[in-house]
Amino acid sequence: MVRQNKTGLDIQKKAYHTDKFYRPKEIFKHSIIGTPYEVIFNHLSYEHKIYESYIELGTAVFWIEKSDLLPIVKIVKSLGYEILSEMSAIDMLELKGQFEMFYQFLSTHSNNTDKRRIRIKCILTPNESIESISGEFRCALWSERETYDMLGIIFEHHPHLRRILMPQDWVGHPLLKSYPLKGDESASWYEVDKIFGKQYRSIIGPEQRDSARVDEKDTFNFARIGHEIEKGGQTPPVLEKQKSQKALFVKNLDPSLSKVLKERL
Amino acid sequence: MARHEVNYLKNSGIPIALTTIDSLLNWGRSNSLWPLTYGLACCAIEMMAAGGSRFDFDRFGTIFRASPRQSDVMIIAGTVTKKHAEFTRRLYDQMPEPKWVISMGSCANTGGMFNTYATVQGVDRIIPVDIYLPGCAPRPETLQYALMVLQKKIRKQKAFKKTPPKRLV
Ligand code: SF4
Repeated sequence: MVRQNKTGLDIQKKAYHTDKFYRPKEIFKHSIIGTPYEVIFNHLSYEHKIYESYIELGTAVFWIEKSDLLPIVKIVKSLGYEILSEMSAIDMLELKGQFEMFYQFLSTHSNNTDKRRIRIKCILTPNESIESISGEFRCALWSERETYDMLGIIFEHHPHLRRILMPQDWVGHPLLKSYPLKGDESASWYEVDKIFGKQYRSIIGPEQRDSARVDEKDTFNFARIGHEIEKGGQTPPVLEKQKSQKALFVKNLDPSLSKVLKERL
Repeated sequence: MARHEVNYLKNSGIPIALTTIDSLLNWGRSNSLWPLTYGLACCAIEMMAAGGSRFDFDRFGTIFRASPRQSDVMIIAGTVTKKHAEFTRRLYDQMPEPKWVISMGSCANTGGMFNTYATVQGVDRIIPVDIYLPGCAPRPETLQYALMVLQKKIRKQKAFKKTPPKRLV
C-alpha cells in the first residue's frame, strides 16, 4: 500500500501498524443480481451447484463444488474467459482446517467489456486431491506445479507433477503456514547433507543466523538487553532479583500465572 | 626486414634480472587471475560493472571466463540458494588447482538479509573462502580492492609448497 504523502504529516516516524490483533477490514461484497455478471452466474448455475456468488472489487466470485471444477472451467472458457491469470491455494488449515483454491480468469473478448474478471473458488480438505485444469489452460501446468511444490496439493491427471521452485528432494512444503520461516531441520542441513553427507554435520556446524538481530516482539530475549552475561555464565533470574528489592504496593509478576492471549477478549 | 639491434651495454647494462621461481610464478599467477563468472543475484551487476570499461578489470589481467576449467578464482556474487549449493560446489571442484574464492556481498558471506529456509547462510558452509567482501552490494571499486588483496596474498605464498586442504567454515 502506498501511503499518502501529506506535508506536515511525519509518516516516516509512524509504524505501519502496531496493533497485534489488527484485522484488515473486510472488502465490501455486492450482490451479483442485476449486474452484467448475472449472465455468467446463470450459465454456471444451470447445471452446477454454486454455493455463493458475489462481486468483490469488480471481480465476480463463485464458490463451487470441488468435483465441478473441470466442467465449470470448460464453460468459463467457452464464455470468452481465455486467460487463466492466476491460480493457487490459500492455507486456511489453522482457521478452518482446509485449503481454498482460487482460479482467476480474465477475458479480453469484446462482449465482456463490462465483465472482465471472474474468480472460481472451491474448498479442498487436506489429503484430498483436485482435478488438474492444465488440459484447458496450459499455463496451469506451471501454476499447479508451484501449488504442489509450495503447499503439497496433488493435482490429478497433471502430466508431470514435480517440484518447480524447490529442489526435487526437499522435505516439506514451504508456503504452508505451519512451515517455519527459517526452515525445519532438514532444510537447515540441506546443502551439507547433499554435498558432504550427514556425517559432516558436526564438522561444519549449524547455520549461524544473525545473532545481533533484536526482535522487539520477542519479550523474553528483549528483556535481557542491559542484563547481558558472560559467555557460558548463568542467567541471573531477573524476577528473583526484583523480588529481593520489592517496593511497597508493587506486585511481583509470576510468569507461571500469566496468560498469553490468542485474541482480544 | 629491419634489423633490430639494441646496444644493451649502452642503455642500462645487461638484459638480466635475477629473481626466484616463486616470485616469477606468483607474479604470473597474481597478474592473470581469471575469475569464473558466477553471478547469482544483484551483486553480479556490480561484478559486471567491474568487468566493464569504466572500472576495467582487464588491466589487472583479470578476464572473466565462462568455464571453470580455465579459471582460477571464483567470485561468488549474490545469494546462493540451497537448490544451487550443489552446483556451486561442483563448479568449484572442477576448477584446477591452485584456486581461490572471493565471496562478494553480504548474501554470499552470511546469507545477508535472507534469513530464510531457502538461502545458504554463508557460502563458506560449502566451499572455502579466501576473501570476504562486505557490502550490499559492494561497489566495483571494492571488488577491485578485494582482487588486489587477493593478488597480495598470492604473491606472499610459496609457489610450490603443497597447500594443505582448505578448511571449510
Ligand atoms: S548482498 Fe545485497 S546486493 Fe548482493 S546479492 Fe545480496 S541482496 Fe543483492
